[in-house]
Formats: sequence, structure tokens, C-alpha cells
Amino acid sequence: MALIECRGVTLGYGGDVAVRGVDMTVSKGDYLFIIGENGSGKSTLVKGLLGLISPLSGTIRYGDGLTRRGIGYLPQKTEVQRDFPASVREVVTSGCVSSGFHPFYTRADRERAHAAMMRLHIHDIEKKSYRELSGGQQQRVLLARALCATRTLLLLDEPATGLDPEAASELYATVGSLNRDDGVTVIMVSHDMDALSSEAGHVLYIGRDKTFFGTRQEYISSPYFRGKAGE
Amino acid sequence: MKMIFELLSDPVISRIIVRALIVGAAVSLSASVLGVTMVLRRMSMIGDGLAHAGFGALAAATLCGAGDLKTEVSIPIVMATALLLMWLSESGALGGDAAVAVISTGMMTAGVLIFSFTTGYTADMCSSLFGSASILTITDRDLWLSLLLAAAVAAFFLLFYAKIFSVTFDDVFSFASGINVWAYKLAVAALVAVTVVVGMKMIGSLMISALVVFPALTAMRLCRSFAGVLAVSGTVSVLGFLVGFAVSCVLSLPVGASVVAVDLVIFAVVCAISALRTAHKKRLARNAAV
Repeated sequence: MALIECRGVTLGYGGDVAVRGVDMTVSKGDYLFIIGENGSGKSTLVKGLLGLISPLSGTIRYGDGLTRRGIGYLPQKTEVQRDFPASVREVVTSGCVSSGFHPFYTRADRERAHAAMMRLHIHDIEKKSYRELSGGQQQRVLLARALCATRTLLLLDEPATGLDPEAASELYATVGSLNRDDGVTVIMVSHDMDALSSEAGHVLYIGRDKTFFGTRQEYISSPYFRGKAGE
Repeated sequence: MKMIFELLSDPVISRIIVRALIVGAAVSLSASVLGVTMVLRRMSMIGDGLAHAGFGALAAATLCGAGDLKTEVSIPIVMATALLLMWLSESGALGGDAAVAVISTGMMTAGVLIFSFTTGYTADMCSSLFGSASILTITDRDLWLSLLLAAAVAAFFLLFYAKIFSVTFDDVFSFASGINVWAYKLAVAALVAVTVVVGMKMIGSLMISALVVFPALTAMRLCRSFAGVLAVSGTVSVLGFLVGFAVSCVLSLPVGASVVAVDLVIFAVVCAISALRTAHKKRLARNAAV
């Protein structure tokens, strides 16, 4: 059974359809690259996968031990976080909160946060304030927080936004290594065609009225690659 | 000065002063701790709107003949307003901050009209707007209400600290982790509503939101961690109240304005220091580069 299976998923707000008829499967260890232009409904699909909105039609099923709540999510940056006074450790540990009643973090939570910070090489800045970090470091912190929330699947929504090219490629390399070396399943959402790294095993292309799902090779030889379909 | 000490040795007067000090400290502490999440979540204007709504609610309670119970009657009205404001600003109906402006001025207007139809422009109305000129009006019931409020705020933050941090820092991530984000936002707004009503009598509805905003802003400039900001915001707020209260007694000024003035001075000083520090760091960096 796959981790996530979408069959004919159509999503939108109110009566407006944002994404139509998505068919895809994500299996353990996959690296899925979701690509589409701005406004094509990628973020709506992300909300659907996280269960923040329900599909207008079709089904999203979770399997292989994954639940909707077990997804490690790296959201787009918000205005609130720009000047937020929080230490790196506080932000990373907050990935351990769950819906149950636990007033304080447990020792296991703290150990998990520590392991995530070690893995992403930010343990030496754990006492620094989040707002004083560079964009690349901030994304590492949020990635560590997402790792606290999951051991199975990372969902990254436009993680390279606002990063300089060097920091962006460093981030992609880190995510690739988490997928390759740690066996974490990755779903990467981006509008940046150039970010389609060799790590990606599968691609989901979201066009204005058509979606395409296949392996990276199939996508590159398909008419959707680099927007050829529209020309 | 000598007269003040003579007054303080009077058991009746010292009892009144102690009562006022406890009410003020409890309200300052609650407002400043809640203020941290309000300011960080860009909800300062909701706090301000609630403060204005408190005036209207108090007038409505007076109209209903609530008499001595008007504080207790006002609380559910302001809480309902909090709910409405949260819903309007989140749903984007009326365009966020415009909704806050509409409701806060609407409730103020209702308050003024109700007062002028019933009791007229009395001392009662003045003290709801600008805070009490005399602390004699603070009753034992105000004392218990404020202690209950401070206990509720403390319990909320101690029991749900991890979740409050998560929701404040990133509500979408928290939602995806299965936290009931709405429940936390509503709990904060409801507690602010109670703080506003309880504190209005002493500080005044036009100034009570300063207690929500200033200590939090001061603490954000001093601290790098969320836990630190909460602690410093609470401490600065209670200290600011004590100093402001003393100033108001010595110079016979209204309590509310004195406390807010002290908070404002602390904030300005901290801003100046952090600006100087940044400039100094920049200069050091430039010198190092050369």
C-alpha cells in the first residue's frame, strides 16, 4: 500500500475549482516533485494533502502507517515569523507538539529535537534567535522542526522562496540527502523548473486544465516539460 | 511626603491601597502575558477594539439595570464581541482591520448614546473612559475577579505552553499537526476580553489596550526567546504599574494615564538603547571591515 494515494482529486474553495482530477501515488522512499506555475493550484493541493481542506470530489487515502497528522510540513514563510522572538531550540522542539494533552515537552521530545538539530547541523546555533538567522539557516530550522513531526514523509511548499541561489541549492542537497540516506519520503512543491533535481523520482505537473503524473524520465519526454504543451 | 506616610498608617486607607495594588498588578500581569501572543499574531488592533467594546458593554449593562453587577454583565458581551472580531478578521469579511474599526467605534457610539440617555455624562462614564480618578471605587468583588483572571491566565499558559508557542509561531503548521488552532485563538481573545473589562475601571477603556501592547513590545526588544519575552513582559508590566501607581498617588494624577505613561517611557528608553546598540554594532562591523 502506498503512503498517499490520490484518485481523481478535485480541490477548491466554495464553488471555485483550483485543481482538477489529480491521480498520483506516493510510496515509501519516493521523491515526488510537484511542479506548476504560480496560481496553478499547488498550494491548494498541499492543503488538501494535509487535510486542511476536503476534496470536492475524488479520494485521498493514507496508508503504510502514515496518517494525515504524521506529515512533516514545511510551510511557506509568514509575515509573523519575520521578527518573532524565539530561540532555534524553541522552534525546532515545537515540531513535537501533538493534539494530545501534554503541558510540557517530554524528555523524548527534547531528544528528538536534539537529533534533528544534529542532523541538520544547527545544534551549535540552538540558543540563537530565529529572527537573527539568514534565510538559509531559517529554512534549516523549519526543516528540523518538520523532522520532529515526522519520520516518514516531508512535504515542502516552495522552500527556496527568498533564498539566494547558493542557499537554495544547499537546501535541495540537504533534502536530497534526507531522502537518499535517511529514507525519508519527500514531496517537494515548486514553481521553479530549474529546481527539478536528479533526486526526484516522480513528477506531478499541474497545468491550467491538465495534470500529468509519471517518473522524471517520462515527464522530461512528455509535452508538459518546460511548458512545451502551451506553445 | 510626611502626609502620605500618615495616610498609609491609617488601616482603612492602607486597605484600599492594597486592594487597588492587587487589582492593578493582576490586570497588568494578565494583559502583558496575553499581549505577547496578541502582538506577535498581529492582533493588537483586536485588543484595542475589545477595549472600546468594553465601554459600550458597560453602558449596556448600566442600561439593563445591572447596578453593582455591571462588570459581570459586561464580560459575556465583550467575549461575544471578541468572537465576532476574530471571525470577521479571519474570514476577511469587511476587510480585516476595517471590521475592527467598525465594531470598536460602533460600540463606543452605542456607549455614549446609552450614557447620555440614561445617567448623562457622569463620573461613571468618565471613569469607564479614562480610568478612575479615585481608587475608592474599587470593591472587594473587583479584587476577587482580578485574582480569578490572573489565575486563569497563568493556568492557561502553564498547561498549554507548548501549544500556545506553536500556534503563535505558525498556525498552519500547528493546524497540520492536529492542534485545534481556533480554540487557542478564541481562548486568548476571551481572556483579553475579561482583562479589558476588569481593568477598565482602574485604567479606563481608552488606555487599557496599552497594557496589552507596550510591555510585549518592550520585551520583544530585550529578549531573544519566547519564554524570555513572556517573563520580561510580565515583569515590566507589573513594575510599570507599581511605579505608575506611586506617581499617581504622589502627584494626584489619574492612575490609568500615569501607568500608561510609565509604560511608554520604559518602551521609549528600551527602543533608544537598542537603536544605539545596533548603531554601535554596525560601526564595529564597518571598522572591522576596514
